[in-house]
Amino acid sequence: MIDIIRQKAKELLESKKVDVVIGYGKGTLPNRTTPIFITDPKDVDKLEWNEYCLNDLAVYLRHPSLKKYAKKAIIMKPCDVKAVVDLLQENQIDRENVFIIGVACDGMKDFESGESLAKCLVCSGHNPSFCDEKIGESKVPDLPILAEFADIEKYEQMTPDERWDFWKKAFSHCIRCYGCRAVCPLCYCDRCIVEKTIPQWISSSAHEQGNLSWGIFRAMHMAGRCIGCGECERVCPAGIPLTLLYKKLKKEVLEQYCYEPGKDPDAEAPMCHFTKNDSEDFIR
Amino acid sequence: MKIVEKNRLNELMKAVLDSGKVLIAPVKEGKTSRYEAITDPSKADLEIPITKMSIKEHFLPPTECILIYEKQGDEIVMHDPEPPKEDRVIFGARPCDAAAMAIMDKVFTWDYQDSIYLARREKTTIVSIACDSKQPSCHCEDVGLSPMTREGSDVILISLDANRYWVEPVTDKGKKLVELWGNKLSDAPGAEKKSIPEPKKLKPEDLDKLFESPKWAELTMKCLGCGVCAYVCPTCHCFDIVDEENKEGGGTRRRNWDVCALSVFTKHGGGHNPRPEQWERYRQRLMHKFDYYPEKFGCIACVGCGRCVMACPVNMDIFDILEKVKSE
Repeated sequence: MIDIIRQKAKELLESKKVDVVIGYGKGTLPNRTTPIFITDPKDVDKLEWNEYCLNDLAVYLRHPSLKKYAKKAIIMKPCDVKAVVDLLQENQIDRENVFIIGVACDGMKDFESGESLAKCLVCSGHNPSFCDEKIGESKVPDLPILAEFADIEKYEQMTPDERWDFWKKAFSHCIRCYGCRAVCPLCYCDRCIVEKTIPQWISSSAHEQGNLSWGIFRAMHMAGRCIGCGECERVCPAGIPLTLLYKKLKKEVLEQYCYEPGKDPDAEAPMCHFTKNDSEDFIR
Repeated sequence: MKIVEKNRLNELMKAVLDSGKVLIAPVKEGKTSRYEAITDPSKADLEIPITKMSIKEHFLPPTECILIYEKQGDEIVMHDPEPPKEDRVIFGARPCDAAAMAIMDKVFTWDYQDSIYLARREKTTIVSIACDSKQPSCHCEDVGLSPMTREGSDVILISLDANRYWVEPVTDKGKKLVELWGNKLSDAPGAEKKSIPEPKKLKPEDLDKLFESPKWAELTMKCLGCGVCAYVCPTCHCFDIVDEENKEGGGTRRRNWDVCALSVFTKHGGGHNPRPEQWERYRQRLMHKFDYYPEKFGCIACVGCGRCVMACPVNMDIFDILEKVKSE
């Protein structure tokens, strides 16, 4: 598979169809891969593909350091492609400037523990559907989308007080490093609400009030948008189970609007579209 | 020479608790691990090669009140928060973490004696356990330390064999703790103290001339500009100061962790940013640790714990980048 990926990258760079190929390279720790940016066709052998390609590279499509490359090819797992779909829906990138190399995926593993990622165990799409070039084929059976909601049932059954206590405790260790925000392909605001000081909506202090406001604000911004790449939770040094929150919102949106983010770039996202007939008054 | 049986460490921790001191030890919790105050020694996990979070948070917390102000009639009255009162023992720190505190002491006693930080330091005894094994991200020897570095520790436990630790008090505080342990420790006249492996002799980094190197931008292109590296780092000590008002018109002034990787760190009110690009911000972190700090305080502000390498969302590796930027 890696040979086909490298060949495609080479072809795209040589033909000048793209200025850069965003992919995975060898990291500096055992089993660790790292995002790399290939601009010279001679360097395509630096590209890697294995079961430790953890990062959702879609975060680099809007990354300021890569602005100098107008046309980008990007190597993506099927779940990562959903982030690109979302970015297209929100007019953050131009379709003609992105070449998606979708690679079939049997599931990824944590480089430290060697364990399968939780999201991979309930994956509903091992083969890419929305892409410009499909590479490989996964034979791992897809699970229905509802499978990913299994682990939130326990929390849904809690009383509101129990849930509040659970999240208070979980967020008590938040150190406000904003790793969750940085790694999220959809957290792209040029000025994050947490940086606003007049008025200051969210305290920047890592105390209960500040952390919960930050956690809740970010979750609300993710409703109907989060595609579930799980990068936020993967990188959280405080071990906060952030994906539980976002999954719950995903489930709500699915139930209320029959909408699943990251499927169709032409779909109208429930929280991002305005119509005159909107049943809510406040938005008019 | 004192030794302790490896299966009796819980008794040492219990003695700390029984003496009325706060016990802080490495604890695993879900996907993370940190040094946490515990009341049951069995909660301590001394097998963790290196906790995800460093001991820094027990001396410089992510957020802390440094001043309280109140409105009394037309006057604003200010007073200091209560100073830390409790004696604490951090048991099972890694020597690199302890060494980091010795590095941080320099900045907190430099142009200002930081009373809150210093009170915490004074009231805390650090018992470190020398490392037996090396993680792939460990770099202590590359920064002039060793798995048995005494610097910053008050007591160090060094493995003698499968069953015993050599117990070495390093400071007066450490000696007092060893006295408190009393007969939980035993004499072992015949035991040979392990020699400390000689760390690599460090050449002073000459990074000044590399400030304008075009490599910075190329090597740091993937940096996403979050604060993970600095916040898991035991020596990164930058902070922001904010005022939080209460409904009565008074409030607290707080000191919060801050990080040079964030674009707002240096952004001026008028919009200008002296470090507008991410590579400039990354260069700052590296230069601060390996160039400015040594120039000012005579030591590198890095203990090679490798936490930043492990925790970075995109595997930015400070040691790899340092090597590459130096290789012209």
